[in-house]
Amino acid sequence: MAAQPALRCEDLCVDIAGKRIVKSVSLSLAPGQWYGILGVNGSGKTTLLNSLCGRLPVAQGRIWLGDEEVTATPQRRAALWGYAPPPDSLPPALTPQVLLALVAESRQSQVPDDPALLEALDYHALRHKMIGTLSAGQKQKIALMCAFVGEPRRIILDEPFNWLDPLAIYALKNCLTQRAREGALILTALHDVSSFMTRCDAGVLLADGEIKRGFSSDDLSEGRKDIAAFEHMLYASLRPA
Amino acid sequence: MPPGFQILLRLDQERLLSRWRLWRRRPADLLVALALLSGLLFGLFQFFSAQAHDNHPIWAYSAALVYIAVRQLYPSARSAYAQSLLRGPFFHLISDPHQRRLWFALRTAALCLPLGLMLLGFQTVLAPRDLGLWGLGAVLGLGAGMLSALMPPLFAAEASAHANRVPLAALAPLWCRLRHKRLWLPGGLLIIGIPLATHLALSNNPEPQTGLGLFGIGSALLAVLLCPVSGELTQFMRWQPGTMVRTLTQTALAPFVLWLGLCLLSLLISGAPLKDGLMILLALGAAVGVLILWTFLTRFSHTPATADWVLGIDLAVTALLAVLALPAALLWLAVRLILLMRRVRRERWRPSQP
Repeated sequence: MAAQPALRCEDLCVDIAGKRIVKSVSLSLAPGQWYGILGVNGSGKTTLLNSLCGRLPVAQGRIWLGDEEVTATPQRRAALWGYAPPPDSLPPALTPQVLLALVAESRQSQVPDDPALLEALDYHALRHKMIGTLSAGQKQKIALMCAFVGEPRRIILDEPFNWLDPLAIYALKNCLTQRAREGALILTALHDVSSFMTRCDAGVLLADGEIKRGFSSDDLSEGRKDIAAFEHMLYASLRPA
Repeated sequence: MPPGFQILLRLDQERLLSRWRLWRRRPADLLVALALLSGLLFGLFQFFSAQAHDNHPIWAYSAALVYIAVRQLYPSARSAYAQSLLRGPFFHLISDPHQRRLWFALRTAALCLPLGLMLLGFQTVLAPRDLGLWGLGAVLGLGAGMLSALMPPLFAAEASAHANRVPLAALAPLWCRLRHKRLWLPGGLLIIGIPLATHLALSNNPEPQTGLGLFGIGSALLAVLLCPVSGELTQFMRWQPGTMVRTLTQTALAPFVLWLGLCLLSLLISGAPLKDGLMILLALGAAVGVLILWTFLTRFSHTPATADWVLGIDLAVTALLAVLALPAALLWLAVRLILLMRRVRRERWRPSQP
């Protein structure tokens, strides 16, 4: 018997200011994988992720998280995902330690204590500084920490490697892979083609709000045998027709 | 109280505490802020006292102030506070719109509490017989402020004009300039000092010239502080999309209007003769306005090369004003002060008999 999908959406459409941004996207994602969404700017990646985690209303279609339908309950969708907010939305007057304590309290859980994650995101060095004084990369690290509060089984990260230094990127990739192996569903929007090719277990290519092409784990394994040709094919697919 | 609200309350408390810790490290800023606040309170009390003396319904002014405060404090969906909650890590606490509105209403009411208590104090001292009307007005002001804050904007901004969607975006250069710390101390002192000095001079001297002179000099100094056209800002604005009129508005006219507003407020608070004070302001405003336009059109115009002779005349006009006007004003003030001291001394030694 196949495992129940951690996320299922059917014919999902999302509108912003009367314009349809996401058009009839259907996904069925099993737990325990790192799922990548690749696409150019304006292809609808962020809008899709925001609607899945309750930040945007659904115009059409249905969403299930596990066996629970959450289409009409955005607050439930928001509660069931670990979510990294945009770094500029973090309160600048707080320290990361206070912020994460409040996030943990609001989720009735604990601040993450996984040493690998804390080291990857440099938490111990940053926790007593004011968020407003941090650099863009440091704010991104704190925003990413928010996604791991409460050890969620589903995590949404929108372009998580933006502004991070190479060491942090490498350590974060390892952490995400580890979480996926432990059974979590990691859903990421990516601009980084090499991460998509080498790290993701499956994924889709999004163009103009629609799924242009899907990649199963077999497709990705096959592609990794000839990385150069696979990369060429991906870039060719990203270009608008 | 729902558990989500407790977290949001703690979030606001932490924000306040953090700001307080920052302020504590800068006692000069704290002093200036306190001085500004006390000046504002003094001015407001003077205004209310004058209105109550003329038997005007001051409870209506209180209601209007409560309305304005609530309208400004209730977070609109576009406000930085609402955006940080809607996009940030605490979204799940207020994702339900009813809960969100309730929290915003409670927060606004709490933030308006000090103003309400202060107005209640004024009402109790100045016109206690209207306390019932005051209560009604405050409640109506609170409700009307929240309702109007919840109403959608009358004109939807164009989707492409992102800057226009931010409230008061056109005044952003002015706010940036006012936030500059070098302006805080002299600006704050002048804003408090002009009405206070004018009021004291007028109340201690039957002739209004000294008070009016102090008012004029203070206004001129405030203009020097607020009104110069910023070279860097204008150069920057030239590369932004927009007309020359918009650039002029943002870099020069907005500070000018602020200066004029502050001076008018000082005039009203100090109780100086309105006609004479307005004449002083008219003369100063004309001079400052001409200087602003002259500077903008010559030094920072959109024409690429400004002739040397234009810059020369500009410099000469500025120098002439600096050389002649300021010493003349100081001399005049010194003479007035000497005369005042002589009068005070004479009247103390030989008090006039009835």
